[in-house]
Amino acid sequence: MPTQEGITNWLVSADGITFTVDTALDEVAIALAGTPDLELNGATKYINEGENCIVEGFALTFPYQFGQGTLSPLRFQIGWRDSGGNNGAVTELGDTGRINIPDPNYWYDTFTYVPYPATAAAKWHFEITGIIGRVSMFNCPAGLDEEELDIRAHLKIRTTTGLIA
Amino acid sequence: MSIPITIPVTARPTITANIFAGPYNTTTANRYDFTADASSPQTVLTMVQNTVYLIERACFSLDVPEGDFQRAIDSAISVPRIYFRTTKTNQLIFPRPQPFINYVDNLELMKFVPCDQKDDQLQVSFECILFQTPALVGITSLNAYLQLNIYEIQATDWVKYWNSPKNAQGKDLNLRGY
Repeated sequence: MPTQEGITNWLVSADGITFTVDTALDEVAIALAGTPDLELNGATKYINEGENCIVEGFALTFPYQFGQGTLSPLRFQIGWRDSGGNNGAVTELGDTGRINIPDPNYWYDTFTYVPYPATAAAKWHFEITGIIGRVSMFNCPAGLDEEELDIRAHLKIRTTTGLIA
Repeated sequence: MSIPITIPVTARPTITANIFAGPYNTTTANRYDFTADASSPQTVLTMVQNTVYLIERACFSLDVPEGDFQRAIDSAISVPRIYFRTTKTNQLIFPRPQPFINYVDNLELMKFVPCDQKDDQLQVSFECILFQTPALVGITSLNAYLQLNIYEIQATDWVKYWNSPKNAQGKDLNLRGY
């Protein structure tokens, strides 16, 4: 492998992946609103039109000390979307973008080459298109009851040129 | 296989080196494009008048593994190729561009290039557009390296025969030795 000079970016979802604490239950479901973008520095950042990338790894992080419930494993689906609205699944990752996560709050390496999608026509970015899982309420502090909390999805990508707005 | 041919022992060997840069996403979007170098040829060497040059061997490579280079070739666009020309006559040294689809070490060329003009130069240009394959993600620019072994022949009689072989009606033409 030649020396890599490219740019590594850590992307993260801002919101849209949530759960609502309910201390009366053993566990609650994770809810997904829309298709949250994976952002950088508080805004959606695009990969240049036509450019390929390597997805180096991913993670899903729960807030505080929450852990996953009995429905295991967690699973989320990654898709792509270009600035013109074209979108689709990232077929190079897992089962058409669906990836099981054995354990939240842990980093998983993939080093998967994701070429510029064949049906894209403009600069493009990643988004979360699906998620399934449960959050355990075990030992949950009563003070958090009925709070809506965010779960973050993370993706580390390597590109040759920098991301653009 | 080598071609048996003898040049004067006084011929001076010269090793030249040219480096071509192919930046990513600069000249052509999402490609490594060496076109900028192709449109502005590099000088291989400045030639001396009344001298014959023998381009004898060539070495060619890029700064990535050979397989990565080969997988990045888009044959639908162009096969990487090299042109040689002299500035005074502006004619191609070889009738066709030299294609390079792999790395070569000591590729035998055996091409004589006479110089009968003052301040003439041997120039080379490299045309190449490459895909970005998985192994190339993260590399912002590629370099191509061309090294030539060139013999400079200034032996008077040998060059005279080379330039005017009919003067000797062929029988005295002796390009195999001096």
